[in-house]
Amino acid sequence: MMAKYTLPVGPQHPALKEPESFWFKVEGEVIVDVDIRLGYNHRGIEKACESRNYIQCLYLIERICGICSHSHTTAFAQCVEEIAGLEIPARAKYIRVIVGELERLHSHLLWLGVAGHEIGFDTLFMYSWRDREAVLDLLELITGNRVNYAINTIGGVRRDIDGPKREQILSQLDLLADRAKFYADLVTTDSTCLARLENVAKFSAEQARAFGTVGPTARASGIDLDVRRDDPYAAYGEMPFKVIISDRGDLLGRAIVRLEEIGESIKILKYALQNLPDGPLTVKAPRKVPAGEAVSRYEAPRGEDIHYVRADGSDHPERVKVRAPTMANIYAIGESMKGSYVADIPIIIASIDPCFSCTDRMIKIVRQESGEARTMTWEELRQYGIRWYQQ
Amino acid sequence: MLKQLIKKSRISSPWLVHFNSGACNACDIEVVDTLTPRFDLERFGVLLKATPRHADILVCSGPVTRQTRDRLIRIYQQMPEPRFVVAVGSCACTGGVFHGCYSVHGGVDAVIPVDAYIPGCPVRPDAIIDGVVKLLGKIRGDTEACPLQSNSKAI
Amino acid sequence: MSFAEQQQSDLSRKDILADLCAQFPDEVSGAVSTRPGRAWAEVSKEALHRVVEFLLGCDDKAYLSTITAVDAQEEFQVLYHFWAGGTEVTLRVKLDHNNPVVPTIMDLAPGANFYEREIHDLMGIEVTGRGELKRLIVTDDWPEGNHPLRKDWKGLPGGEDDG
Repeated sequence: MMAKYTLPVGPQHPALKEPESFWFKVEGEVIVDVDIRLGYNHRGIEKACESRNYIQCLYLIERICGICSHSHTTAFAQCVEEIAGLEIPARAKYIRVIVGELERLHSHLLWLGVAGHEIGFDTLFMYSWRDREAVLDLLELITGNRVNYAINTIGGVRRDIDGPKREQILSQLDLLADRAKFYADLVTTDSTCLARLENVAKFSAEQARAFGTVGPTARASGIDLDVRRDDPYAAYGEMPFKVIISDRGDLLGRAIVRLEEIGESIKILKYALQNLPDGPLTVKAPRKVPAGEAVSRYEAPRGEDIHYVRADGSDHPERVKVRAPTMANIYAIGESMKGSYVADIPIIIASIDPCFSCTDRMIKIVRQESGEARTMTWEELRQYGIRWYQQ
Repeated sequence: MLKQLIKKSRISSPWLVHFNSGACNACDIEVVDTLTPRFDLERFGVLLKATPRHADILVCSGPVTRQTRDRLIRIYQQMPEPRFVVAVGSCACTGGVFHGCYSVHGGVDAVIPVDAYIPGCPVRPDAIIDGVVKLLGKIRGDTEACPLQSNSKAI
Repeated sequence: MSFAEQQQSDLSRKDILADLCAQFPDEVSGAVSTRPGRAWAEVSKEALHRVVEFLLGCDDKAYLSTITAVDAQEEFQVLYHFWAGGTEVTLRVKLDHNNPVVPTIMDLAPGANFYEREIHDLMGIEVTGRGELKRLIVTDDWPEGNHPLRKDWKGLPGGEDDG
């Protein structure tokens, strides 16, 4: 009988507002149990919103996550607009779609780089992040900032896209479409990628549904769900796109879904830019929002983002609830890890795209019976995984 | 003599460790972004290391949350001396928009001493490079390049 | 008809609210649809389990989106948000302010695990019928009985911390 180890990973993990610490029970190389602890980045945004007015809340909510900031503000603004009975102008709806899709492009390219890094394919990381800069340039052109765009306001958007900007964005999109195709070919044919991604951490459609997974993670298990199509918001009711589904259920499936979504996003962007309706950018929003409540859903790059807002008639909300997509996916990933190898931990966690790239996490291996402890960093674990596969 | 050699190598090739003490991820991604081809921080000899024991400079982003506070202090203490801390982003400088939240202690300087502050929400990669280069000037003793004063509380 | 509308029409948006009321005439009250795709209904906590079972079984895409707890001063409300039958259905359970207890729905939707731990941490809602509600969001040294999202919560004991 092999000795059982407990392998703590974390706690430093900055995913949205829900970083987590994993405690793996391992038997030899195989993970037998996982325990997850969140809250390291818990800042108390929901409570803070209750003492700020709606416009201030918007800025706070922008900073829930630095990668899907537009998703959160759009979801929140939609809630408030629904309670206040505002119908935002068509042009504002289109601009929300354009910024939202550019955000999806940069997020998926970011994910590809991180995934490449975790499997020891750093060339892919450098390539995809270089292309991501092109998207960030476009976002900066439209909104004035690379990240945290602050383009949304209650009742519309704050900046316009004029003719020259439109031309510039369109000219960049063809280039990005080429690159996306190149990456899709690369991931599905390169032997390094296949060896690390195929048939790892599989879960079936049944499991994905039971755990309530959302977004690309769910679609890679064959679940046909996309808020943009099923419950259209902004101008998505008019956009031509197809929902990408893969029935593989493994890491490769999640990669394919994201890479093909880049192509669909580019299609949406082209359509939205070419058919941008004329008109104003905002409608006048009241400072005080009448009493009421609303739920709004948004298809963020990582999946369905849900906001619930309850207003009491004053100028600040009574309750704001945010459920970011990683919260829905992280539990499923914990369950699907059982039976996988220690060497696969980094890429499995990265596969749900919890914005995993950016920090150093201390990992400690404690041998249970002797209490002997060994501390590994995230980087060492990653190296370990790469070496383990080279053998 | 040996000390001077160490100082010289520290300035020519400072090693960084990055720690997220509760940030929204935007600054973290921008820190990683400085390593990618467009900005390429490595041309200054800067390497991002995974463990605090190898690092000269702690790059810290985000307000310090209750749950990360002890971890931040531990990481700081694990670094070999002399150690330097850079607070990246408005939140790390002062607590930013999260100032006053029940789960936030404030900026990084509420917990550990900070040597350089880089404001911005999020900080642009160019600003991070500028900040790190200015800090190197400060280490060299070149006060003109970096008229910063650390007024932070010691732990 | 645009491309997306065609896609949309393939999906049946069932009148889930009518089904719900027909199935549970006594247990479900205050059913209202605020706009297409949004439905709200109130259920008693005794009937919650059966209603959730019905909702999750109504089509093959139904899932639990999240659970929200609201402190409505005179009572607590726990809102269960489901995506079912092409509609976002919100079930509202009203709880006594002195004794906020709901039954678990983890056996029906395992994904509820984290959401139940979250409302326990932040709002102090007890969930029965499942294992221990381990800390998920608040810190390890968080004092017992402090639930930050409650309206009467005035901050941690000991006043301002050193931050």
